[in-house]
Amino acid sequence: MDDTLFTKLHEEGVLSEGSLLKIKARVSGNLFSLHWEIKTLLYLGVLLLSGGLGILVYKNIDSIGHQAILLFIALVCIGCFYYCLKHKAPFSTQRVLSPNVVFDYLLLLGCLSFIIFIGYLQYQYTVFGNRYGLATFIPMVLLFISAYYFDHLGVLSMAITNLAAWMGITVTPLEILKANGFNNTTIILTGLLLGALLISASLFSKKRDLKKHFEFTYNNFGMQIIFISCLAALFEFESIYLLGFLVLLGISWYFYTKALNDRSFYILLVTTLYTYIGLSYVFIRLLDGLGSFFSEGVIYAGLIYFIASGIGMVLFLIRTNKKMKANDRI
Amino acid sequence: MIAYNHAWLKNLLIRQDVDNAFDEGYITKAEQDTIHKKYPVGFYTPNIFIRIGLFILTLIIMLFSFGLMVMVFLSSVERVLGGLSIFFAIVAYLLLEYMVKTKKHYRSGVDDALLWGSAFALFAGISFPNSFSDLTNWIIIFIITLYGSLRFADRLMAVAADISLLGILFYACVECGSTVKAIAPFILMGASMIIYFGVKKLKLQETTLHYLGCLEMISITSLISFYAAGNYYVVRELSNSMFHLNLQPGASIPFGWLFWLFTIITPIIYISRGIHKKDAVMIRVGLLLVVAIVFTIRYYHSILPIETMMTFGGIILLTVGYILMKYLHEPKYGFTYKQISKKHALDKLNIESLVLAETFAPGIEHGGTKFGGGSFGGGGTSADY
Repeated sequence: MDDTLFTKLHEEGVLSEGSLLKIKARVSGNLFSLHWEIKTLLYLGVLLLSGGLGILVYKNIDSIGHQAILLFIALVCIGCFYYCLKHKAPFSTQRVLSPNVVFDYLLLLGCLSFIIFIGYLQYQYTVFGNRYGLATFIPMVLLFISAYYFDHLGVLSMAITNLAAWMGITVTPLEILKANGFNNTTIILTGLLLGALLISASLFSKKRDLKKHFEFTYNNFGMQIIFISCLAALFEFESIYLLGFLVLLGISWYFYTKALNDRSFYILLVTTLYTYIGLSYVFIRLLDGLGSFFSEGVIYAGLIYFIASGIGMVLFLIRTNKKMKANDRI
Repeated sequence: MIAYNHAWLKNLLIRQDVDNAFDEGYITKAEQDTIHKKYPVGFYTPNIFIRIGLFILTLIIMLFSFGLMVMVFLSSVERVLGGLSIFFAIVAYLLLEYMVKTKKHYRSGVDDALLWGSAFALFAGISFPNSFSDLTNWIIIFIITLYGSLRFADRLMAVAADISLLGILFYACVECGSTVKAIAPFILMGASMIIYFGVKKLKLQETTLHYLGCLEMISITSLISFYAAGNYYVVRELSNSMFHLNLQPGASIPFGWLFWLFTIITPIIYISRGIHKKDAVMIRVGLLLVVAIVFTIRYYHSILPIETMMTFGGIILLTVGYILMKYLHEPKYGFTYKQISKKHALDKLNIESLVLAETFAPGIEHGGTKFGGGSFGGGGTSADY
């Protein structure tokens, strides 16, 4: 930072004496923050160490034995949770700041090692037999509890991912998956359900003021999942694709209003792009119905559609952006 | 030379400094607002997500417009493709000038897409119908990207211009014969060094004010290219495949020890000089290149099994990081562990949520101007001037 600009601003009368002095002190002190460099070092260190140890264990599994490894993982898990329980700030329905950097890492490590522990038990000893749902259900519950109890967004993301895995496995028994008999219909419907569930969770956290800052994570996962499932439904159920398109439009409308309300440019972008994909698919289907696919007229119409709709979308984004910025000032 | 409104660009720079000072808590909100009013910026610069959307959509429009043109000339497409490309590039460029001059777009996604689309189409139109040598192609790229960076101060264009200049040098060396070929690494290293110090001088001049971002990116690129030109792996494998040395595995190149020296010493020099001069860019590039040292050594010598290396590396990194964190808890020699920016310091969360918040969270970035900085992919390292 340079203080010439600020001296000039001060002479012009838009900067107070006090602010200028503060800036001058900052410039002459010339403090240099190594915060991100050090954090990156620590992060890389954790990654390398855990990866290296993992491979070491994997290579020496014959000489160590499964029980010893399980015991070790369990000890790591218990140790981490012990530390977290001891150092955590009291529970609140609001956001709770983590006491220190180590806390966050240890909580993550504890949760990860718990998942590994359960997975290892199932893989090596098939403790849960063929009830694979149970093997994903237990970690999921623990993850959700930890996410709320310790207030950790990373753990919440892991919990949501686990929820998706659990729902996927519950609706599609592993035997069917193994036999390659993918039942697309159930998976797509489950996706829609999961998306709706997560969106309701986001609404719930906001309305009931229960960990309000979780709302964004819930909403983000829910939005992506429901859009992708809806597009998949559009492509999959060809006979009723117009109905699918209507559902897509409904979802888009919901997120469009949400984007305007929250002034979220991110939600607006995601909504626009997914809707555009759906719209283009329907248009091409309609064109396809009109004539044989490779006739020249159809190709021209398709090309012109993409140019015109692209321009339309650009104008839409620019205008909505303006609208949201105008609201910004109110 | 620059297409955008000069006064606004200047005001934008002032605003950025003022916004930084506000984020670090040195000036009040009222002062920030007064200064913003006094230095107006009339550019159309939307939020970063809108920019991404506009970029994608503009690319779609351009692709399908080109497709439409090709369809019209389908019967004789092979003869006219080059001309068509050039025509397309000219139309896209005129549109770009229109968007910038009349519609006041500045890093809106539309201008980015038009600039890169027209540059690519122009190069393709000139180069594809002819079978030019590599040297000629690099010269064409250099001219196009140099113009692009001078006219639109686009950071990625500047990087492309820098790389193509080095490409020209390299292929010129190749065409000069065996003696020059042998010293090509030194020529490239010298060139990178000249570019780096030249840029450093240029940065201090009043005339290059609007190119500061470009110059910053070029200096990062030349730090990396200086290292790459002297890196043992790059030199050995490149000369092996390009100059047909037919090296056996394990065989070294002439003056191999010299390149090993460069491989190991350069990052250390970067880091120590960066710390000495308090130059964040140098420290970060140096840290990044330490990784390159490890990979280069491991590629030729398997000193330890990979998992042992990882474990020990992890322990070393953790120890160093932890010691530094404790040591710099209170500022020492002008260095601190604490975050200076108030905006971030308020948010004492873990890395994941920070990353999430910075990439996704709505409402954190209001006001489009703040996101004027950072061409695609360029934001990360250059954020500190």
